[in-house]
Amino acid sequence: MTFIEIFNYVAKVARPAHAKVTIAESMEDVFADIGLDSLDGLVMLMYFDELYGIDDATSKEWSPKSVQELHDLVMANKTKEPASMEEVVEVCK
Amino acid sequence: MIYLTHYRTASTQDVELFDDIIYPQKVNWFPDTYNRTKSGLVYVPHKLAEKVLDPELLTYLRENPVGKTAFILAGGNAHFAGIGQREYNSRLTYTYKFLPFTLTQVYAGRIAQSFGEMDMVTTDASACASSLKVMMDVQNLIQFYNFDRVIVLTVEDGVSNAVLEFFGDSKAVLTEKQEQEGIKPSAFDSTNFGFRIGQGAALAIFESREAVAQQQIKPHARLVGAYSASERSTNAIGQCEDGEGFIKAIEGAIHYSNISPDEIKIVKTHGTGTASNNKAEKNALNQTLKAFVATSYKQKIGHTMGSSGLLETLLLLNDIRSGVVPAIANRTETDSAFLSESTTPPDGLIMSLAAGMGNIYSAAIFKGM
Repeated sequence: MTFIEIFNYVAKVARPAHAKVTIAESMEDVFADIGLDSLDGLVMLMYFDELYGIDDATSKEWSPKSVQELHDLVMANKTKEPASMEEVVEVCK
Repeated sequence: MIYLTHYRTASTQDVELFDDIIYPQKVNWFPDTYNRTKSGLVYVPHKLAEKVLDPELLTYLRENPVGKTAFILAGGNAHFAGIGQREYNSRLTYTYKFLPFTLTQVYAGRIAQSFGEMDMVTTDASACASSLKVMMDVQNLIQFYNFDRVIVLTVEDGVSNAVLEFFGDSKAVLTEKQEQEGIKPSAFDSTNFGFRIGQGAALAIFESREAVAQQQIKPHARLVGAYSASERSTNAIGQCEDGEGFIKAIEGAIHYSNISPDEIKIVKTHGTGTASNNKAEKNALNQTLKAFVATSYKQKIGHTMGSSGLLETLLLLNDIRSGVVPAIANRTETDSAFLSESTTPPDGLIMSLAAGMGNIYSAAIFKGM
């Protein structure tokens, strides 16, 4: 389970129901280039807070623009991490 | 010409007793819409709306754009702004983590993206008349502003302590105590009365004649005309029992439809079954129409609040297609107008009525196709 797999799953959940989702293919992908707007980014952060045990107040200060930037912020602040994609799916239900 | 080309509905006849509140009462609801609400990531009205956001229909609409397109979210009583905890046996407790999604227009803007490019996104909070009141907006946009497609999404989750207690306190809702005494939900009846609260949603696509011709599709109905009005109110949560508000809405809809009142043969009433609505709506219909049959859906699916007007109209269209105008449930008297027995649909136009607290009455006239 890679970070990019988790990212793509969370993006799919966070986007409006039935909206088209473009899959991120590399850590360098920029949110805007794969169809994620600022609102999508904020919603995704809420899910990452849950998945990685990050305090809301901390992540509210972030404004990542790419998968890599998000990854670095999450890794620097995480207090836990999901053990499997099944856990990711469960948290994002 | 304005046509109803596609629709989806979500309502349930399943009821559950909520007994841990001041006025214990049964509600029509989808328990799954409250799954994981404690996470703060789940927005109950959004879960409810997803029940009518059919992916195949959304794909079709995105891939078949017409001219100018509008999206209207008829949110009824604006419960998207559900700030403050709701709690029932700990199961219904929730808080929202993300304020923008509690703002009705933000949610509308986000859902509208799923339908393709929009020329207008707007919302309506005309209480329980909301989804029928917006028929007047649909009419205006298509007839006077050259829109070709107006998408109406209506959704309301009235299953909250605040709503259940408010309606219990105002003696509008049927409480469990009354049900144990033998009272059943009904309308226009001398014995049974009242309603339960229900969750509901509907999605309806209205299109111009040009849009219908472009797509070569067969519409379900034609929106003939719609109007909303208010009465000389002395009580913002009451109704004039002489039916003034309903009469003004009905007469306005008839006027803008350019039809004769006797062309209306089937009425979907607001039909809450409260004493004041029974009097007001019955007086209004008897004064404005001639031979008609009237039905009500709230006894089956609960009062779905802002969604009720349009949602119940769509359920009536389903029933008419099946060859029936259903009886008003639990009538104890024989009545051939406010139906005590189901009947075959008479030929003629269909009129839907709705009323909302805060003094608003809406009427919309449709022709089944």
